[in-house]
Amino acid sequence: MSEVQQAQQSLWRWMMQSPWERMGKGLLLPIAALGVLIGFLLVNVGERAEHVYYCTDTHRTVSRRAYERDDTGTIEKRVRVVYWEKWAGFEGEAIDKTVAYFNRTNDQKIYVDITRIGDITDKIRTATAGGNPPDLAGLHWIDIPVFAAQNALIPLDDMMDEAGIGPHTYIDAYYRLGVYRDKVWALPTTPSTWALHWNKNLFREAGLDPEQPPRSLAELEEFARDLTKVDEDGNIVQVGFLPTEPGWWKYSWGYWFGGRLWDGEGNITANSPENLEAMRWIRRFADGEVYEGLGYRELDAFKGTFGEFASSGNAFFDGRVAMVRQGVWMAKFIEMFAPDDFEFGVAPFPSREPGLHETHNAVTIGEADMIGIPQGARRPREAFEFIKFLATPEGMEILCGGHAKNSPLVETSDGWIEDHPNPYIDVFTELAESSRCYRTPPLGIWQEYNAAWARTFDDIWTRRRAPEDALDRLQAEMQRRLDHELERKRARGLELGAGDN
Amino acid sequence: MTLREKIECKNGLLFAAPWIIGFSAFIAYPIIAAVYYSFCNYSVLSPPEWVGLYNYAELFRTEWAMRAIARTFLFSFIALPLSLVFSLCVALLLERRTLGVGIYRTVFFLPALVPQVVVAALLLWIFAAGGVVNTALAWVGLPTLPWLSRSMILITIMLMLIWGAGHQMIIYLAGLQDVPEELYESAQLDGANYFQRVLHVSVPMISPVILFNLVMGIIVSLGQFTIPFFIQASDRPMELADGANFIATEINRQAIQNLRMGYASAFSTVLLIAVILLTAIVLKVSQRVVHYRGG
Repeated sequence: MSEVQQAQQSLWRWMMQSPWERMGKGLLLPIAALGVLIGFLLVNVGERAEHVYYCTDTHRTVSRRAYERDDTGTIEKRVRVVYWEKWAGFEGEAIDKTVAYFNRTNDQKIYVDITRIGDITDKIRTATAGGNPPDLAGLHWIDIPVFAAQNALIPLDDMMDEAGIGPHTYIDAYYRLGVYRDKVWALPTTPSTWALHWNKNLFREAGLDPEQPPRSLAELEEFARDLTKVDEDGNIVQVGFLPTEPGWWKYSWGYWFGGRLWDGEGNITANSPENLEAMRWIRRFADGEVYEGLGYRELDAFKGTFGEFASSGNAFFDGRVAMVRQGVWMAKFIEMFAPDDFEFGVAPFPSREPGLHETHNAVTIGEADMIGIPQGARRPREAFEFIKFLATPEGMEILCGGHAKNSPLVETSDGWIEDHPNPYIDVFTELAESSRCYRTPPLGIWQEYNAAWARTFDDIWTRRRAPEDALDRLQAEMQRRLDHELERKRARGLELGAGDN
Repeated sequence: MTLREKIECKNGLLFAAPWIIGFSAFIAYPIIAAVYYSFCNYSVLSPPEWVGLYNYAELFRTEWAMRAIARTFLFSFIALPLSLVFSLCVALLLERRTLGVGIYRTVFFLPALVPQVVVAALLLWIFAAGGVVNTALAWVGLPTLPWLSRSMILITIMLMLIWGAGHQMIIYLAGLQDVPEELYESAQLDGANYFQRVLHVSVPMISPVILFNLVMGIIVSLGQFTIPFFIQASDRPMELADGANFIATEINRQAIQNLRMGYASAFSTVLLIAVILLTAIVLKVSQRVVHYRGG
């Protein structure tokens, strides 16, 4: 028999064997080891499944075995509340500090187990859809209508009533962010409002009064021209105001012209006369009418030299842009990245309508990070205890102070404003209480609408389309989308969320 | 079926089972599910609702979606031929037996080993206003360019794609080394110069390899995702969000950000059909121009 035939025969014999025979008994040990490992994992998962933590008096978590062996009574059994939050850096440290304080002081035997994660919306959505969400979810305010429309959060109304928490607890502009279809789905944590920030040193250099910000859009343009510098070769070296810096919230300009994005009932108002006027104002910059001879190409090329927002290359911090519309967080970033001699002021961003430059009547947008309980959370009652803690000045101020932001609560502790790290915190707080503090529309299609606005703004800015044409197209597209969504909701017996925009 | 055939069949299936299970669970099922969801309103958080062809109609009447499609095809039609020609030229150079050719081959192949996310991060860094490229241009007295502006971002992405064309190059190289030496010799005896030998010997002989690179290139370029996504995700060039929006990034945006899984599935289905059609056309046309050895 040749070697080839022998090999063929042995291969044939091998193929005729069952898989078990082929593997041989030599695999018994590895299989047994795998069984032990699986058993070990199951035991530990089982322990986790009890949703309890064993904490020492120094608030360190220990194993169940350590708890059972403990005869000193210093280890106690606590209900574990899983909390996913999005912040990193100094903002992350602030929530860690807040959670640690709660864990230390609560008498409900609750242990909040916080995990800070990126792309939090996607992860919470996936976990909720998969039936295994955290007990507490730190969401963006723009997620709330979308999550609420899908019943992906638990309404908090009943628990709030029991705890005595209500609209009276929060500043209205922030409280409304969590309301959808007349129910409260989430409550605010760290809020913000937007205002004009100006560089006082550049104002002085330009011969302007550094304590006197522009009070109207005409003044803003005038100041901006005075603050703009071009070198001998015609290159921009400093600009007074740039509508595309930082380039966020492109949908929002209409609010400063009296416009709205939605009528509150089912009609998109993208092409309203006020929004059109706002986009025409933006177009004046792009056309080179504000800075003579410097249109969007020159301004874009200049903007192309700016560094990232959270860096010393930020054009506002390094003195290349004199005025920006920014939020309450800016002071913290100035402290971190701007030169030591950087002096800045904060005031309401001027509106088209004269006289709206006082904090009580100025236009601003109120936003907030929110906290809610996902549908399917295993310990909603215990989770709400932490939300309740955040509804007190004691809890909220640890968090908001760490973020250098204002508090969303009506009640604040003594010295909150005076000792706050942001020297202009009073401006932001008062702006939140302004009669013209608006919020983005609580629409399930808001993310799409927002993205469509950004594209429309770019079409107008790059002179690809006239403002009228661009807004008409946006109006038609988004109205069609909203009509479809409303039709679906009606078919499911749901009503559109009540509220204004 | 005899007993032996049955046993062979059982064993065959058993050995193929891991692949069959993997293919069914991770490829076949997602494709079938995506096609089904493309006819539904589906947000993951609530059950899908049948809406017929609404998502497809919506796709073709939405300007932004059409812009993403047009941009992706424009990008593919320019970047793909450029990258095919560039990598072929490099392969031809590296095929020559020169001193240190192994080092050159490694150097040209290295960019292909860099993960796409890193390529995207590099792009934002080296093409920044004060980045390496502009510094080099300024150093040799050339004007600097706004590489990351709306008007130039497609060109910048193309440059990065070409920079990372090492996979194509290595496949060309393998094909070129397989061309029988006697063909070159006989061409040389007939008086053909280097370029004529490349054009009339090398290219026809490696035409199956060119076809392979072309088909793979179509699939990759139409599904271009990582670099544009990274550009959109970076907070600095905010104005590039639309300028760098491709089909795959638009699908991701609609599915993940806007929770329109049905619409995103319709978009994915259209992309799948486009890739299949283009590949079929290329394969059909290639029958006339691709030469397989031995007929």
